[in-house]
Amino acid sequence: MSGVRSVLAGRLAAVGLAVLIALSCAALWRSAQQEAAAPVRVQDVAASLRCPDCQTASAAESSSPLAQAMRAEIGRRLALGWSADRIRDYFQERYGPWILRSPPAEGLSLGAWALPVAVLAAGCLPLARRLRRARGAAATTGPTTPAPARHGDSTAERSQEPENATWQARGGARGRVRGAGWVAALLSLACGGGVLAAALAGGPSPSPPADPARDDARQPDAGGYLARGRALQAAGDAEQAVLAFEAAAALRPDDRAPRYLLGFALVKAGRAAEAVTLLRPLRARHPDDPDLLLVLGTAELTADPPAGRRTLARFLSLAPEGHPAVPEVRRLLEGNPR
Amino acid sequence: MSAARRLGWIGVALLVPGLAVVLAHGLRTGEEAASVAVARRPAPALEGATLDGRRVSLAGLRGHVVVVNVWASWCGPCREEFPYLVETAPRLAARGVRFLGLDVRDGLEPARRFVEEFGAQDLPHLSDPDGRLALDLGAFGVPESFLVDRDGTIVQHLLGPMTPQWVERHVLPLLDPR
Repeated sequence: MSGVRSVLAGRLAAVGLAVLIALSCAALWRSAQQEAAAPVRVQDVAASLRCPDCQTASAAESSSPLAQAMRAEIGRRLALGWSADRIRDYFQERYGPWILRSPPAEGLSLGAWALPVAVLAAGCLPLARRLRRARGAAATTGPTTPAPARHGDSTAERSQEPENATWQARGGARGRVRGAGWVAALLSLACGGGVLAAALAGGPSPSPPADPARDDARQPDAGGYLARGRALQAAGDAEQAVLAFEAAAALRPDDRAPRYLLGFALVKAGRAAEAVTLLRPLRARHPDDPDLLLVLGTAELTADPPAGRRTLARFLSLAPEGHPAVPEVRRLLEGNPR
Repeated sequence: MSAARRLGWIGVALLVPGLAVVLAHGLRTGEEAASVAVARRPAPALEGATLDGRRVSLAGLRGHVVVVNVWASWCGPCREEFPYLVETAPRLAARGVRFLGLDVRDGLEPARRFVEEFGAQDLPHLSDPDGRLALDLGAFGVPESFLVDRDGTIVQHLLGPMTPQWVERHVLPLLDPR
């Protein structure tokens, strides 16, 4: 009787373990889904990053100078429409994977992810052994005459066994088969759960450095980026304005206006050569666009002054009457004769 | 010996050397905590206003070996480090090295007083009141120094005060022989 109880207890324990594993996987899945669906907040991103100057706390918890700076920087980049992953990548590029509180499941850290799974799997083995032993004991203390209920379910097994095999031996064999089944099921669950956990909670995946177009619908539209860029430029933050206009240009690949604004912002940020590289291919397609000539000419004046003067002269010849930039460009060219 | 016991012993046999390796690594890391060879990466542009109101950028120093020193007037070890910095900077400047200070999360007035106290006004010190430039650089705290080669690549990251040994070991090899 005690053997039967022990078998039952073993089965209950195994079922409990399986349910626990399944629930853990479901919880992880749900948590990952929620992270994807909820609006990204500064605290959420900061909580996934370490504080550089305290190292034991997250950037969300610490009041250290650099943790405060990190929160401000995260806020600024979120306002610019950066995704949480892109912000984490930004910090990872500077501090390495250490800065992530959940390092990606690759390289050495893969071992850290795999270890709990291996331990869990190893833990299942003694449990399975106990189950098998308990079943063996139950079979020895169980009925020695065939129980009616067992006739139907083991016809195939019986037909393959020697004539003189006892029910006890058959019960032991069945127990071993079932025990092995449990072990296989638990191991599969443990490994599956581990793989799922690593896949879901394996931390941020690396993403390309600048591709705002891939950000989802929560991100602002091109108009929002343009407005932000203008506001940042007005505030004198040319570098951040460049980022905003880059995002707008990526969202509106057929619109030239964001590129012109990006060109101006690049010039203001001291990156005139980049502006020239951006705008020259456009001139080949739109050689008579005065706005393009104005931005390109301004950029070229720093990067390639003779070309800049030529481009601006062409701007003057094509600009419509009353263009606000004409007087300034004329003065500029007269002051810098060819 | 039962299978479970055998498994246990195998576990212990694997765990003990593993712990020993981790411990040894930790101790070794402690010895070398002051100097960190970083994965080579491009230095950020680090552009901004200096404590005396000029515009300076790290990108503008391309072509020179640059030592970026991260400091703050409220930082004790920075106070210990500064006399060496002030003495070394002109000596290395003659060999083409440029120093760029980065004053992190500091008040403008205390920072200016700090610079005057040590006679470091001749060196450019970028003001970084919100710590944004320090983060862009990858700083963990103060004082720290980043060694940037002529191509604008960060090649060394020193945690803690700068020492003659660090300069000799990492900065001098980047310079042309005299």
